[in-house]
Amino acid sequence: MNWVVFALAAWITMGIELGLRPSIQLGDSGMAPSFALVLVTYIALTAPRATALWAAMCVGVALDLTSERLAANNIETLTIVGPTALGCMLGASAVGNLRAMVYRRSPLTMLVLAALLSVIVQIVVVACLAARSWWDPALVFHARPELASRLGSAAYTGAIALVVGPALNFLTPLFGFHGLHQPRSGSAARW
Amino acid sequence: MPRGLFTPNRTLTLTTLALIVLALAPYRTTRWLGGLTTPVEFALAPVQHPASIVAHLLRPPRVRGEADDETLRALRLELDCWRSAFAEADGRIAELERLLRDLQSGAELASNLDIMQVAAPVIGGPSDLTEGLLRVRAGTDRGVVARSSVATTRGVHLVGRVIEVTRGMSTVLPVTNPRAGLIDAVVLTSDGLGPWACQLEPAGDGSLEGDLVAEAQGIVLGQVVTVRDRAWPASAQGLILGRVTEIETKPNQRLRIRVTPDQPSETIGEVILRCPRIPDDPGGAP
Repeated sequence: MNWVVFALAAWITMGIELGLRPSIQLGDSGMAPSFALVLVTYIALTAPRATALWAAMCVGVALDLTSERLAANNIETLTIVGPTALGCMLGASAVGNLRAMVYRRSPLTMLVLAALLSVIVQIVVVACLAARSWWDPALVFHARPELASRLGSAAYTGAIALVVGPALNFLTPLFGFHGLHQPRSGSAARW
Repeated sequence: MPRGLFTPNRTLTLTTLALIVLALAPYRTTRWLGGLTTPVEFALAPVQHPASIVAHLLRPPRVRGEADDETLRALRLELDCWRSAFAEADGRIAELERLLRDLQSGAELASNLDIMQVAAPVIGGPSDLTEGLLRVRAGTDRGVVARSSVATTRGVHLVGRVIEVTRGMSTVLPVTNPRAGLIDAVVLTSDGLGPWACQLEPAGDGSLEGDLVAEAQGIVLGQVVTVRDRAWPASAQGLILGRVTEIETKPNQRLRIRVTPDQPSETIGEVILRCPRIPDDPGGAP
């Protein structure tokens, strides 16, 4: 994979995500699509496994660093690095395992896999934050409402993937992938 | 060093373990990670800002109950300004009366802070929207101070309090956010009987609700509610919280009102930050 092109794509999708999300969320429910997770889905579907995991981790860490939570004292914000990155890696791994069974050119594939990856990411994030809130007094976390909102966001991400996915497929040669084919055996070492 | 100690797979495993530790470690041990957000935000700003401009073009700020007519809009804005000025003056009189009482009993003057206004675009929220925070493109470089500065729309409508400031960015906790807590306010009535005090709390749907004092009367829909809360900075006193959109009489005959801001926080494209300015400070922002 061409990491420069990936970095550019991640930069653009993250910027679009941060700029657009508040305006395209459903009401004030907090349900909004993630363009960056569509990129992770595309990479997981196309790149060698190890490459996909590293790319997912990079995007996840960037999402964590731009995700602020209000501290328990309501006058500070918390930056928690790890939950989204781990979720992205797990999601990318799951998509990587499924890609042999799907028809990658179909837009519906991107829809389903992006939604699936987002669901995995959100469940991991909620699990991490819920676990952490047991012993971290700075973090106040209510898992049930957050999970509902986040699963709504995951479905929304799947819908957005219908549009963003084909655009990313169009850029496949720039990423340095060999079309939408199965990666060559032993390509894990090309990270 | 033995050959192959840091193989790709081993590096990936170690990185994953580090992420698990960071994800679960208490905040007091990972506080330093907050310093990494600024360079990431700085790097993303060139894309984020145009995207937020496009977003506001696609979904322009809507002001509840406002007519399309330009003249009417201007008149309404002027009316809001005067109402805010009246409420601020009214609050100031109450404050001076209190000061007078305090001085008489030997208390010291509170402060000599002045207020400056900084216009700043809202460049979206954090990537995690569940907290409902707003991120604004103005920081310590323009004189914004955490917890002492407040964000407004059109200079008179309170949006929320600035809770965190970096060099070029501020994070605002909207007053309608359930985590913002209680706020003392007054309802301005036109019959000369008010203003009537009330304590409002976020309802969770973008509005505020609370009980009025027992003697309140003459409350009707559409009346303006302004801040009068000593727990909020001086720059917030007299600012408009919204209008009364629902009145309910409780079994004990006290009135409970719902106050809805004129503009929902998620559609705000630009805010005016009201920040304290110390007169002696020559480096104050313009």
